[in-house]
Amino acid sequence: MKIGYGVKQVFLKEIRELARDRRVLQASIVMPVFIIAIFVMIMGVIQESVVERKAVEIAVVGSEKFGSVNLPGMEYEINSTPVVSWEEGLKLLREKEVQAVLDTTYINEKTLANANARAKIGYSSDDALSPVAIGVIKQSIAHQNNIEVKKKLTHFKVDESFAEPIKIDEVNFSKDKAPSGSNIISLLPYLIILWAFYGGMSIVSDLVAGEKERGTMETLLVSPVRRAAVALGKIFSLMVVCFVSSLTTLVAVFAVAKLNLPMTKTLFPSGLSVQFIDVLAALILLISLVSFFATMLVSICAYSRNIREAQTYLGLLSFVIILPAIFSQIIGFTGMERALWVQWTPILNTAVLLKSLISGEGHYAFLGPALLENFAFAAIFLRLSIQLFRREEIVLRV
Amino acid sequence: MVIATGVSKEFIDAKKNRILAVDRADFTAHPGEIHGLLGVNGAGKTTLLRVLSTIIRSTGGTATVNGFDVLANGPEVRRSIGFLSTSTALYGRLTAREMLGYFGSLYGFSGAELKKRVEDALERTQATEFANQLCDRLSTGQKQRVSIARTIIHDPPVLFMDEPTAGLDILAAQTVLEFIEAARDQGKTVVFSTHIMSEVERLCDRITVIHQGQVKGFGTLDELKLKTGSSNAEQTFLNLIQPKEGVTA
Repeated sequence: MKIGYGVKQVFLKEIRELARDRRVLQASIVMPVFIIAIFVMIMGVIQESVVERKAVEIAVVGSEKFGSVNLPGMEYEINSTPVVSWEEGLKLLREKEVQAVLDTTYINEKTLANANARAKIGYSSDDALSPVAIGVIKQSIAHQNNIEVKKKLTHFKVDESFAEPIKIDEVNFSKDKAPSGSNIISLLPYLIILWAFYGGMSIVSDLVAGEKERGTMETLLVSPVRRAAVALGKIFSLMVVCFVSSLTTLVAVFAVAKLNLPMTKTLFPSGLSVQFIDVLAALILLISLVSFFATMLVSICAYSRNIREAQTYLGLLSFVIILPAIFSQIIGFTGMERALWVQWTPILNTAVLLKSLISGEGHYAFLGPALLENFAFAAIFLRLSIQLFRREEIVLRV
Repeated sequence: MVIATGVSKEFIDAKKNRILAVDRADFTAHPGEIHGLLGVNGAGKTTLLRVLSTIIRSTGGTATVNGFDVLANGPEVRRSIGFLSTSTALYGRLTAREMLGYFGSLYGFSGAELKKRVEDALERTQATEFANQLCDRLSTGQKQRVSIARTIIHDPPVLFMDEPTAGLDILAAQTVLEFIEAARDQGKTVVFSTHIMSEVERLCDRITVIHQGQVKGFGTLDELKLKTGSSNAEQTFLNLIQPKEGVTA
């Protein structure tokens, strides 16, 4: 009898049963599409509100000419509100009506002439826009300083260009057609990995432990098919479910981007565009990931006595899976995204690579370690699954 | 033919205690006869049948099914047997026809041959009428008919029946018993485990009484009655499993 005899039959039967299982359709297709669509729309609304709040308010005590300079390259609109006293400015700051208070009382012709003019800035660090306000104020004061220095230089008949001995040339290297919706892109790998796992997790207990509990495992094991073939057939069918779940997540995001809904316009102003080679690499990576997840899930359920025990183990395991995926969200801010340990940390390397492939950066140095690890884990758990299926407990432990 | 010689099965529980579920069991079941395995719950009947059907491995002794060794020729043994019990369930999201097609394909049938076998099995078990219904929606009796059809899809020479009427109503049980009789008439070897005396009296040509994993008696019902000096099957059984404190009529 061939080693692979029965794998196809078990696989096709499982796929047929899974396709008729409402839970599979809900967990693998309906929920990812629904939740991702809702999630993207909420992100869009949040982004929209951030965009709307681009005006930075500065309360100015004294002269209004300060706080009216825009920072180059920033899209914030700067508004200055004249107030009569420092206390009134602080009141507005506490009420979050302004992001900073600038007191220019001690800036006048006399103090400027004596070079002892002083400005006082009040701000609240818990307001995300305070640094912008402070930057604007400092820029404005620097501009005013520059004017004053130039006046002095002119007075002493020195070329005013000495006031700025270093000139800055700015060049923007941002890609013209770079994929936008960066907030979503940073979340996509997390969502894809999460759904690849949860899609499989939602049905695996029924697929293995459930079959044991219902008695159909015994029926199956008295057929001439080898137990390794039974295990393989189940693993392949679970891989399909995991793959569909993760792919649905990706498709849902692209579909929402394509629909160009009013609430997601700020997320995808120029749509999502990814290179074919990156898509191909992402698909290969996903196959390796789902083979890792599917073999792991099947081996855990083959070990479990019944559905309840399997679900307990799976619940605990989900934390182990989610943590690296969550970490992939924050690692971008730490500057360690390309570190060697990240490259070799399971799941985290897959998440970081997926993120880079979707964003068009393509950290291809991660591809080898990620594929190697995912397939290595898949091989280990495959062997374990087959061993567990060969044990008598696969029928007896209920 | 089924031959068990000194078959033992020992389990080790969670506390590392040894549990001897079957202790050196011997029996022979011949083609064209129904061989009853008679014992109370927990006697070791199911374990013995699981050993013979290669679901679990014996820890002692030897056994052959249709000439194949249960330890060395697992797939050949499984190809030679049909296994039915009340615990062998159906796939709820498959129709009866799909279920039979699946098991037929596991036995290596395909195309027109598979289709013919499925239709034959459905017809023989009078299951054609509900063949396209999902197994989840079938009544207990209908499910048992589909289970029987699954058992005979590959026309095995040996049938293992592990308490196949347990939990069934009288009509469903009748279907099973008629099927077992028909299988004997077709020359198949039937090993039938039960603790219901009326079924033993009606069906079994030869009986092995098993208690606490050990064979306590072997022979025809008349031989066992004679041996124990009992007048009925129930008394015979009790005298075999409790010889000293046996109840007298």
